Amino acid sequence: MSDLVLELFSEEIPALMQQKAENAYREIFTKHLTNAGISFKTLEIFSGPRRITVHITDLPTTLPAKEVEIKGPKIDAQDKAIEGFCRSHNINRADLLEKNISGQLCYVYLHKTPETKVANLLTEVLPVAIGEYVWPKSMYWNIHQTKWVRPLKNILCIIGATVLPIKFGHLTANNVTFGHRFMANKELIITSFDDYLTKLESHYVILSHHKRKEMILDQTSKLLSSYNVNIKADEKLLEEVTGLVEYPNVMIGKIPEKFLTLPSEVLTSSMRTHQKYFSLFDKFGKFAPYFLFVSNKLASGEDEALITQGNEKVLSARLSDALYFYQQDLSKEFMKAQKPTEKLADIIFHAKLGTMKDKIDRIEALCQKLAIGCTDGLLTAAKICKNDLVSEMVGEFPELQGIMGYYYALQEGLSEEIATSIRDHYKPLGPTDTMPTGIAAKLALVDKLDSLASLMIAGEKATGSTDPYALRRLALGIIRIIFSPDLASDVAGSECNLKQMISAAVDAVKKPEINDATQTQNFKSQILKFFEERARFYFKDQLGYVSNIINAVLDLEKNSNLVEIEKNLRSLQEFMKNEDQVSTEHHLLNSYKRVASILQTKDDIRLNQERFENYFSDNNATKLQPEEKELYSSYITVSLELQDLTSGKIISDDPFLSKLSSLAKLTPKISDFFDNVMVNSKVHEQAENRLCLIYNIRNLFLSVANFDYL
Amino acid sequence: MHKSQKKLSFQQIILELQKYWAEYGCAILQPYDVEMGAGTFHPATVLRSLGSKPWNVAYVQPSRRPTDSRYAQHPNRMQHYYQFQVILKPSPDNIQDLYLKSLETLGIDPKIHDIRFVEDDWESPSIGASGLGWEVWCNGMEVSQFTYMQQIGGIACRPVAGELTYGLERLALYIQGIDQVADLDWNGQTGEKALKYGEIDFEAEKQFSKFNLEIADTATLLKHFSDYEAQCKELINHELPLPAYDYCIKTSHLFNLLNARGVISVTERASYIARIRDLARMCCQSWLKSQGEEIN
Repeated sequence: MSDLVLELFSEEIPALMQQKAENAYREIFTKHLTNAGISFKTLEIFSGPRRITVHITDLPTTLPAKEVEIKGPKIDAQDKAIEGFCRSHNINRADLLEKNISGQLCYVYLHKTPETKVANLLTEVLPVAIGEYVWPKSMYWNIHQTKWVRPLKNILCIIGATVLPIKFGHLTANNVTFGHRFMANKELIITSFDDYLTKLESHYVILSHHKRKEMILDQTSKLLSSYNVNIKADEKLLEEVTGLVEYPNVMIGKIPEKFLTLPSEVLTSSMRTHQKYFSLFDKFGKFAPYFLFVSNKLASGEDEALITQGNEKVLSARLSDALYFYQQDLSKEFMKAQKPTEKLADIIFHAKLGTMKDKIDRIEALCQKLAIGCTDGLLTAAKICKNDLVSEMVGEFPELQGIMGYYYALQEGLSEEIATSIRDHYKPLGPTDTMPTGIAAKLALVDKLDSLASLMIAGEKATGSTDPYALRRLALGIIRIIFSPDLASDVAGSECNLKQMISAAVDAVKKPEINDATQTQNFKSQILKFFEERARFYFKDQLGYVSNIINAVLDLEKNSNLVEIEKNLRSLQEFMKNEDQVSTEHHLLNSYKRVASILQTKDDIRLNQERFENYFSDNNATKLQPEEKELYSSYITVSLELQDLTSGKIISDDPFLSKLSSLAKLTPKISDFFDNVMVNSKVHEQAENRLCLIYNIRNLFLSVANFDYL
Repeated sequence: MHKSQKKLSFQQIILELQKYWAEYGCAILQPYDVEMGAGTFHPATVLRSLGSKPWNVAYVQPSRRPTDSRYAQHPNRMQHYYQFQVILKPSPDNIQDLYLKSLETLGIDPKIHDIRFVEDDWESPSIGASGLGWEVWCNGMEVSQFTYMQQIGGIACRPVAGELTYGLERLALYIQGIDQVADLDWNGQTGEKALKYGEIDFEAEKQFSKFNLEIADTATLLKHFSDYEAQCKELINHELPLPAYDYCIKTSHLFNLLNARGVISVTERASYIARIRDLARMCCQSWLKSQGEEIN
């Protein structure tokens, strides 16, 4: 048994690609070893800026000889088949044996593999495994034919203490590695994994990503307590800086006071984006005059000061720029005039949909058209909510859109409410983001509605794998806003359902393609359907309703008032729970199933309303069986009740539940009917009208909910 | 100043770099005499990075970026500045070490400063070029772009050329320990003979800023763009890729000027860039053909 160490040593690998490669290689190497029949105890992968290392323990030295019986064609098969079998296994007919397999006499061949040296097998297997991972980006260099994420400089491969000279590209493996590029740039000869780990560490290379991260967190917390500051958690940045160093040394630098007048989001973006620095805050949550960074070397005294000062200088230059932009922006007074700024006409929203100015025009119109309570505040906010897009600051840091608008609005004397709407109308930005409230919520709703409708009209789509315009997030955002307590009362009013919202949004998009009425209707249906998928997801994933209950109730074409739908879902769920306690003949669902199954066998139901009414009229009463008369009478009663519940003539706290209760009245009558009346009567008149009655009853059920799903 | 650092004037930095790379074996070329946005646009990079012949050169290239005009008011942003460009083709296996040693000759000792190779893949859509590589950071400041050219003019580079681009002003600010480009010591003299960067370049900076942002006649520029585009195509027909390439770079500079004047809308931008790229592609193909090389 021996251990294998394989190191792929290269020039600096992009920080954010390392972990993914590490995970992929774990799977790839495991798979290849398993397929080759090579056993092992553990398999570890390490990734860092300059190396990918594989460590496998307890590999056998040899694989024992094997005999595998391969089944061939029957002995009485055609000659061609038998010869083909021999050819494909490179054997002669003389090598074939006969064996009785499940009562058939077949040819078999004993495939013998001699004892194999694992080392030889690995020489073939390892290069294939190495080449199997496709880096997100890879390159050529020099005259070599090898392709890798960055130039590969050396491969180390040892089994036990012996070199396994595998070949990959133009490189042949050896037993050499290298220390830290700057602190200990020496060639190291390696004889085992322990040796590898020890020598690397003493040459300032921390092999494990996890260990480097721990070191960074550890050093960070020490600095934080000695400076009495807190850090803004930034998992992604932490991940990145861990991949940028072989030996982390966390350091702290000072930010000149004059820059602290900048909004904290500006400071953080500036520091994070360009410089990969962490933001620090004092115990009151105020931005601290310090920044944290991770360097790739140990340094002390004068050398440490050199590095710190260098970083401080760069940051000063960056923040100077930011301050300059900020002051420039403020001097332009984008918000004061309370209308869309001119330069919005220079920013394209979408190639087919015109500029941001056009978008603002649509949003303004929608605010007034939708019954969401349009105030002056909302209109003002709508007019200026995108003005910050022309600012220098947002030009430099696009992620600050809305946030800069907030600050500029406040600075220019607008109300906190309007400023907040500008900032928050982009919310919710994700599943964990907070929801906008007040006029921000309304503006958010309108903006997203316009974006979704117009982008879909422009032909943008969300597929299984890509959604470049985040259409799903837009729709989900709209749904969540509709359900937010702030808006529920305004938006849930019967005049403001999804269908109307979509209709208004589509009508607001002026495009030649949709002057055609059919096309317009198509778009509206398409968008409604898209909403239905998201609503289904929302009800299932966020609110926990089961699929069949959702499918029974959710049909946006019929009813697009989401708040009402949720209420109905709740009622139906309650109802279904209670059904479990009800006896079979009073079970609503069972009734429906009997009704539906009879109809299933009939593919051509001719409805003649006049004959139907005649048959069940008082004139004909004596000819009818009591059970069918009862059922018809019950049908009429329930039919009227449902109508009255829908129109509001009968007032109910929960019209849906009332409707279900109403339907329940039919249950015993249906039961009696099926037990005593022959639907498939030989008398044509009877058959036709009885079927008609069943058909109408079924429609009655379906008018309340889609019982087929339950 | 740290004991390891050297006090170098702006021109000394250029001389040191030229000396270093000359000793390595590069031919020290002169800047190209057509306006361009970066050292990469020099035919010594764009055209010579293609094909199979080895090519090792270094040169200073004055570069113009009209959109960075700041009327000489900004401490370190200008519409005209100097890049130092090195092309090593094929890229040697020890290119990173060579680069680090060049920093040492400038008094930037990698054993003391925190030098990092931070992922940055370079792309120039207007010449159909792209490469993989890094920004090189020195104590947090970007001082060079380090790129392995993968394709130019839409043609794969085989062998691959390594491109090192030094930001001379950035380096100088760092080496001299000052904050404003205007104050950079240009010629290392004292007293009357001393000349600062601002004294040499900043009058031009002011005047060109005004030209770039306010005065440039956009109708004329647009007409020139079409004229140069047509001339370039004509020259390709005559199988003269080198003069043709001149006209290609001219259209690129015109685009930069038009952009700075704000007359190119977001929708039009892509189509202008595509037109320049087409010219670049034709020049590159024609060049390779003239060198008797296959286009892969």
